Amino acid sequence: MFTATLLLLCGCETGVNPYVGDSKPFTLWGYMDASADTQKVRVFTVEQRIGLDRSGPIDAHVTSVDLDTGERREWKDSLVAFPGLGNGHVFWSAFRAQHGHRYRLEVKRSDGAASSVRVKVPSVADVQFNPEAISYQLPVRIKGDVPNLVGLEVIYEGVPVYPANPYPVGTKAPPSLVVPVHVSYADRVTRDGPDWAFRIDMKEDFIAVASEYQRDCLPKLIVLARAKLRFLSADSSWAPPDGDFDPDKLVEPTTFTNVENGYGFFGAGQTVSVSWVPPQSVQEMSGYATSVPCSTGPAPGCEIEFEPCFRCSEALTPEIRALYCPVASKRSPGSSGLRARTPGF
Amino acid sequence: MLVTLCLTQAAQAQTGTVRGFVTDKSDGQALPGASVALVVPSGLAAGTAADNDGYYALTRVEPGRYILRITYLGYEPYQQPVDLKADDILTRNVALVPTGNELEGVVVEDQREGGAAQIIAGAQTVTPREIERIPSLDVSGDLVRYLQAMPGIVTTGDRGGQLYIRGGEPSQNLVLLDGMNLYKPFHVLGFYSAFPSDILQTADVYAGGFGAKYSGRISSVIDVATRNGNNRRYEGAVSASPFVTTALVEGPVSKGRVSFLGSARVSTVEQVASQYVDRPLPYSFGDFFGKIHAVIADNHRVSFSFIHTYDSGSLDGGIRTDHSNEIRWYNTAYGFRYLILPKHHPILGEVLFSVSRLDEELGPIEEPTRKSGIRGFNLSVNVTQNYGKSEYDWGFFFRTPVLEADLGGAYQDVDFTYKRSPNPGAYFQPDLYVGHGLRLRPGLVGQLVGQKGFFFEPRFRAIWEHGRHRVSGAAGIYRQDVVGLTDRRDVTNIFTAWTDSPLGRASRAVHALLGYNLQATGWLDLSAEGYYKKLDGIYIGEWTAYPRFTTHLKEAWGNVKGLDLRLEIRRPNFYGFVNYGLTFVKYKAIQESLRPWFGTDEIPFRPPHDRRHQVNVLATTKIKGFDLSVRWNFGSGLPYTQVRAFDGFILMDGPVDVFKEPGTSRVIYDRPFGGVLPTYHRLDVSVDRRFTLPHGVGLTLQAGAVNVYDRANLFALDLFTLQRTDQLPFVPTVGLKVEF
Repeated sequence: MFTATLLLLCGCETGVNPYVGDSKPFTLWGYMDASADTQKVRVFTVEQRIGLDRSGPIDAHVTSVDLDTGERREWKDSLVAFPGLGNGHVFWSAFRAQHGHRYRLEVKRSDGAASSVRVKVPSVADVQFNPEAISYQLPVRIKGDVPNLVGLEVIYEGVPVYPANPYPVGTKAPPSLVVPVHVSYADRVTRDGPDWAFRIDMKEDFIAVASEYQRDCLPKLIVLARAKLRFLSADSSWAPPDGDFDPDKLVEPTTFTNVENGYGFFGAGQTVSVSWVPPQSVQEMSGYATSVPCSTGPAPGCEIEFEPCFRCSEALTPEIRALYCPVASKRSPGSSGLRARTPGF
Repeated sequence: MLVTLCLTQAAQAQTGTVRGFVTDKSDGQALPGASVALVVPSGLAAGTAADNDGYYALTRVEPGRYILRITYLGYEPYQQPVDLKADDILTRNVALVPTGNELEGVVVEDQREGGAAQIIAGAQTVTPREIERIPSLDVSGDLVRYLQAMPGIVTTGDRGGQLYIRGGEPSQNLVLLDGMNLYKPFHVLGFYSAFPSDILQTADVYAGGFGAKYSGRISSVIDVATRNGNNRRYEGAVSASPFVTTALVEGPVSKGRVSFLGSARVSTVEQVASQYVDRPLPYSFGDFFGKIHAVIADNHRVSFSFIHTYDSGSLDGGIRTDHSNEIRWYNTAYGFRYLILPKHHPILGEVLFSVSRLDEELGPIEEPTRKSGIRGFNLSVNVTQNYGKSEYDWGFFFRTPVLEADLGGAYQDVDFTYKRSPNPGAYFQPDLYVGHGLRLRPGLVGQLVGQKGFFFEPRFRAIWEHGRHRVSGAAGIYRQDVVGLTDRRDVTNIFTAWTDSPLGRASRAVHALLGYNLQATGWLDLSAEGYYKKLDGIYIGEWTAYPRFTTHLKEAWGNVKGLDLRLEIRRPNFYGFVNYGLTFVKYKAIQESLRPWFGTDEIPFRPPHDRRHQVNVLATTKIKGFDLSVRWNFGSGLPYTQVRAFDGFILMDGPVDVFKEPGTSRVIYDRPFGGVLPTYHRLDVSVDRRFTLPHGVGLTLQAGAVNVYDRANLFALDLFTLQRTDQLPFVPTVGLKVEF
């Protein structure tokens, strides 16, 4: 009983406070954008309450200083509504960040606690490539003092062409629609001396574009309206561990941060976007259609091979089966029902 | 097998064997522990004790004339002459006649197999009488209540009903009922399991270091044997309490040869108990058990068993609705057990065949968000060859667990699975009497573990007895291919996803333990046992700052160290025990993403079931016809992960417009499992009185209470909302039981 009494006395506490607290006042997300006339930063208070919503007034004062010119700016608060998720505080200031300049952004609480970050806007990125080249492989070189390329991608804005005789015969073909497909080049770019270099391979990319269309149940006959090279010319801090923007890794509070006495990431950069229309011969070499071979109305004898975006099974209507399923086809495992919507239906 | 056959021949060469079953003549029940001896005028020629089936075998006996003497306290001694010739194999089944009810208590006391301090190399035999000493919420006892009072066995609380045995996790426990696998046998309300004491014969609990007869799990074994129905007369019992209602019926199908036993238990906690407890008790559970036992011939016995259990409940403590995020699970198992004594071989053969199934769901009834299941059959053949004072066990098995899980992204490495994992194997386990009180039991299991390969698992158990002292030890290697994945961060989430080892390696454990027992006096036993387990290939969820229970799996490893101390007092009018468990469970995992946060990617942590200190005190006495039982239970706080703060996360993987990108909520966790929850302690009491009514009807009335001093013991804490769920408050209860 002595033991029991002793333990009882030791174990009277029943309350529990799971919060150990954190002295860092703010989490910041955003970047100094040399291609924008307005700079912005999302500010989260670090608090003991879960949720994105920061609807109330925020005890934060945001300033930036151009460390090269001494120019100081006050940033304004906007309460931005995110439908279904509450409100967030985005501070902004109307100026254009200057290439090569260093900036200090500070978010300060009324009690003096502050989170801050220093960034340097990289110099102008000079993109060099020949869009008129008669080759589906386009060498690209990016010159200038560009420490990092973030989100390097080529966007293919294609138009799917529906078969001349959409099913059922007589069905009105859907209107033309530009469907962009983003092909990442983040792992294809390398340093070549002071420059960045890579090669756009439109033929290889077409496979990705076509499979993306197929996945979305769009016809594989694609007319390329435009291609666009896009990236963020980023400062030296914009480099996640192993160059991998894996959200499951970066979500850890200190994995990818440059904020002093705070969390988050605030970088600097310039969005670079170059559009071009490849020559017809390059489009054809890559796999794109350059003309619509048949009208979209019923045209006997002018039929385009059309792979239905479903698998033959008992679940299909007799009409569809009669049109698209071989008579002797056998039902295969996992072939039950429509895989996804069929265009025009 | 060859060894056994050789031994069989060797055993018979110029000697004979006497064997058989010892039962109670009044109801046909086996009498485990009955003393069996062949005596000659000069003294004892050979002796042994009956096993759980009442089976005995006296082998390598010189030809001659003997008196076969079988005794069991509370029964009239049996004595008959036996003429044994060379190579004779005589089968003598003996039914002992009870002398009277007044000695019943003494019988069980003195010839008990169990006892709170009677632990031999991690093994303990639990009897129904011991179970019924523990205060409970109704008149009948339940095995889980007894197990919860043992050191080294941790539960997370009144809800959930999961047992962590010496640092192992619930899915690492092998639970057998009459040889049938039960994957999740402990009910959602932690006071109950599929094992009511009314149907039990014995439960052998191996907290570690188990022998070669058992395989497929890496932590522990709970091998439950049910009793047979009364094969002489019909009997029944019904009981009621605010928590459960039970019914039991048994009787002969063919008098003296075939019996049946049926038991049903249905919870009433949600309908009745929650009416007077000031909080919802959203639990529903039940179990149905049936058994038919037949004595086909003197040397053939067969039994068929069936069990179905169901559980549903919402562990967050809220009132259940159609849309509640509740958990449901269903166990179903059926099987047969066939015992044979071949006429021309002095061996005991056992054939077990069973089919088991567990289905588990989480989420609203109409639209469960996660499903998991395990099913399969289990065929095993076990042979026991007695050879003087030694014994040779061997056998083979074939199991084919089929695993299904649809996790809705619960564990991103394992989303939807369907796996069939065949597991054939064999074992050999001699039990050698070396002399001078020393028994050695080396063993070897060879098994094909799914697609992982063929493995040998050596085992070893030893016991040395000298007067009042007993030293025992065990060691072994264990493997497990079937893995139960749970979300360790959420104690209210006991959903288990069953799959084979997701990262390609079977879980593996190495056990080593050493114990000492001292019978200090005729009424006081003491025991101490230290143990160590090394664990490899266990799986944990990856830590992530996303406030969600969706995560990748990480392989982890760890070890368990501990010490159990027990003291047991048996006086004529008093029984009690005090035990203390000291446990250190440490896991380690590697997670690269934690290096910037914690400075290292190798994270050692205490898993949430690492209860460092445990104390259990039980005192029972009989006062003026009333059985009074008091139990006090103390547990130090369990580890949990504390939170520093919350903020938001935006993936800055390109030119993100923060005016448009809402981001996601984020938790800034502190070091994994660095915090400790408050201690747990509780006092439970019960008072029973049994009355004998006319026509042999027995009436037992019970009154009791759990958590007498209304301690606010924490069950779960939602770190995000601070919503706290406590374990049961002070709950008075009454119950009655009618036996006829």
